[in-house]
Amino acid sequence: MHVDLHQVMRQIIDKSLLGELPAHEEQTLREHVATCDSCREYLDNSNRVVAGLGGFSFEVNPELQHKVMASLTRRAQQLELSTEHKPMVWIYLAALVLTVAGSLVAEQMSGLLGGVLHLQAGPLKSSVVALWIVPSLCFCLLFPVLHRLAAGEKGIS
Amino acid sequence: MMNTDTNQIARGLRRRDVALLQLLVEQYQYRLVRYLTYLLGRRDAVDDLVQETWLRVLERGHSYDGKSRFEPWLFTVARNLAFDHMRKRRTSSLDTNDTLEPPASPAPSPFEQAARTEDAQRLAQSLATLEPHYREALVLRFQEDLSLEEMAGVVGAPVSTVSSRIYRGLAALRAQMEGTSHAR
Repeated sequence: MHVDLHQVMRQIIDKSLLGELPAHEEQTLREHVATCDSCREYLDNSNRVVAGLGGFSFEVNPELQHKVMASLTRRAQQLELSTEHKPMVWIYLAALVLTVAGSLVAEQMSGLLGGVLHLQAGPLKSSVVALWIVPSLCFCLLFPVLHRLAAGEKGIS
Repeated sequence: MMNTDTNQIARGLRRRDVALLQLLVEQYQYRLVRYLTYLLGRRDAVDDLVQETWLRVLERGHSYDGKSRFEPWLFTVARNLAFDHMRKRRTSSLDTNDTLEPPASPAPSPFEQAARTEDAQRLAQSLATLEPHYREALVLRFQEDLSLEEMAGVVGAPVSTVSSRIYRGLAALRAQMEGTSHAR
């Protein structure tokens, strides 16, 4: 089988450009290009391409860094705020569940208390709803509103 | 901050440390612009993509573990955003039935604008017409000095594919040089 020596040498040159050439091939290549004009030209042109790639200088918009930092700072504040909010959400939910459970217990207890003290059930239940259940629910729902207002005062949107 | 310790970067990104990010932006801004210009072959979307890349670094910085160099990770983030951008651009152009290529613009390509040496000027035109995968391979290997393994990680392809892209890219540009060296 005929092997084209120049083709083999050009493959070695390609490998050398990637810095993957073993020492023995490097020596073979050096000896070959010393005597072969076409392979030396191939090597020279390859080196010129690689060097030429270093001859570009791209202009960077001078405003870009300022814009990037402004958006990073804004986003970092938003992320910090959302991280702060996460545990608060669970506190709101826990308070709501406890309030609802407490209200159900209070409603049941008012029925029992009415029976023991021989009081009329209707007015007693209305009093429990008006004086216990509704205020505690309102108070519970007020938490997120107050927190949102406090966050607004910090100037974080 | 020439040799910023990768663990220090990873810790800072986990803390979302804006001061560290500022140093990183200063250090990598030009390289990011250059990489995205090579990838897209145009400048119009590069600034927006640079900004999006840094925002993504802030948001997903916890996924950088500091065990490998920061650059390949940064270029992977930028690359994913650039490909999303190209996909959206293609979809929107199909939606508007704007399937025809825009007419050849007389404006010079970003490579022609950036060429500072005689050889770079010779390469500029070929670079503008080269496929993005080849341009990307060339910039990552010869400008960013990434190893073949690092490049394979960035582009999500085997090392053999990455090597072949470099060889093909070089061959296309070498043809340009051969033309001029024969003419001299």
